[in-house]
Amino acid sequence: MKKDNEKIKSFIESILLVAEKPVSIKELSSSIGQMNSEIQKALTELINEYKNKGIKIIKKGEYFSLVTDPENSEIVGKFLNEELRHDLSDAAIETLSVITYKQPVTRVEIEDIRGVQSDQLLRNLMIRGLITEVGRKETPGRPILYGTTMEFMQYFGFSNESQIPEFKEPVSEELFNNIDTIT
Amino acid sequence: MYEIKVEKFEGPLDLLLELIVDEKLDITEVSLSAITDKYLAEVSGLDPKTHDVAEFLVIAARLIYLKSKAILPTIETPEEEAEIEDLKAKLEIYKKYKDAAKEFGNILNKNQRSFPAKTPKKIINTFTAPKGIELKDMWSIFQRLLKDMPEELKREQVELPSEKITVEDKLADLELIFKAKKKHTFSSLLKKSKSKLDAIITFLAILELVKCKKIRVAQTSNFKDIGLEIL
Repeated sequence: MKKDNEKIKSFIESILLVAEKPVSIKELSSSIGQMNSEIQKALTELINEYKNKGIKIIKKGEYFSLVTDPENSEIVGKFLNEELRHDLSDAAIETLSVITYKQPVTRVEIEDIRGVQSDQLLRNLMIRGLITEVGRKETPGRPILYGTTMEFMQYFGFSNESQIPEFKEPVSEELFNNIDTIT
Repeated sequence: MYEIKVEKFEGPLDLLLELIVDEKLDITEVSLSAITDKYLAEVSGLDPKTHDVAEFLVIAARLIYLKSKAILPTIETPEEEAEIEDLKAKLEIYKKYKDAAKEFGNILNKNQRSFPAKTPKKIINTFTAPKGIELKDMWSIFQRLLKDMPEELKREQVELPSEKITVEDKLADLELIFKAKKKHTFSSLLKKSKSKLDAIITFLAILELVKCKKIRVAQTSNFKDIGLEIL
């Protein structure tokens, strides 16, 4: 039975509030009993409606979470008695940046880019919940593929992937053209 | 995340990049060769305990090659050239990620985080007896409850067997049985058992006797009764 759009939005809000993990469109549509497209439409509207509210719906891939407005973090942090200053080392942030732009990515691929062993950093980032195993690469040894998590989005205050700074792959041609100008 | 490293660079690429940026150079063959001495000086001061020196040496070799090529242009080899190209490309890529990481750091320093909705802890229904209630009180309460229970919910009382048979007991029994008569059949022994559990224990005891080579077991064909004989 097709439900009223407003009602669907209300259902989504309720589910997102009690969900312990990010919720996918698929999960929402099966719980509410509506088509994915209906859910998608309702979510887009909801996200818009929360524009000037203290709570936001953030999106990562197919998943959604109800969170506080990152601009309120100082007040919320004070209330929760939580230290806001980040405690990630430069190396950890660098590793996180590699994973962000290369995901899904294996440890070896990360180490190849950074030129240094990164297993300990990966373990720490995993424990922090900022990255997770997103699958296995179908190559000999089936190495773990890493990706960022919804907690990563929350930690940086991103509300969707388009807010992550853009990454421009270097163009190697340019490198050679510069030689003359330097000498 | 705790990372105690006194040096400001983490790996060879990090060091190279730092030196190039310090000199305000771009990533080129010429600038790589220009920083060779500084790189080597840093590497010679490395503590093998905090850094994988081998990783640094691989790059050191490439830098020395570059430098020697500047003096003796004829030594160029295709293999080395490819490695230099590879190094330049790697550095360029690494720089992009390092820049991106700097951007990440800036974002993090804004301390703008979002917090998820806190799901209240699940209420776990546990029973805590009021003070002063003892086991016998609970027993009498339970009895009263049973009495007041609607008739249709009551089940027939079943006597739970309180038998406790051990394999050891059964072994002793079997020994007596075999002493009285040397040959028995498996089915006749099982027929003596008082319950399912007794039958299982009997079977286990027979297996034990076979293992200890106290009895011999024989069967004429499949599904025929098994003959047991004391040795």
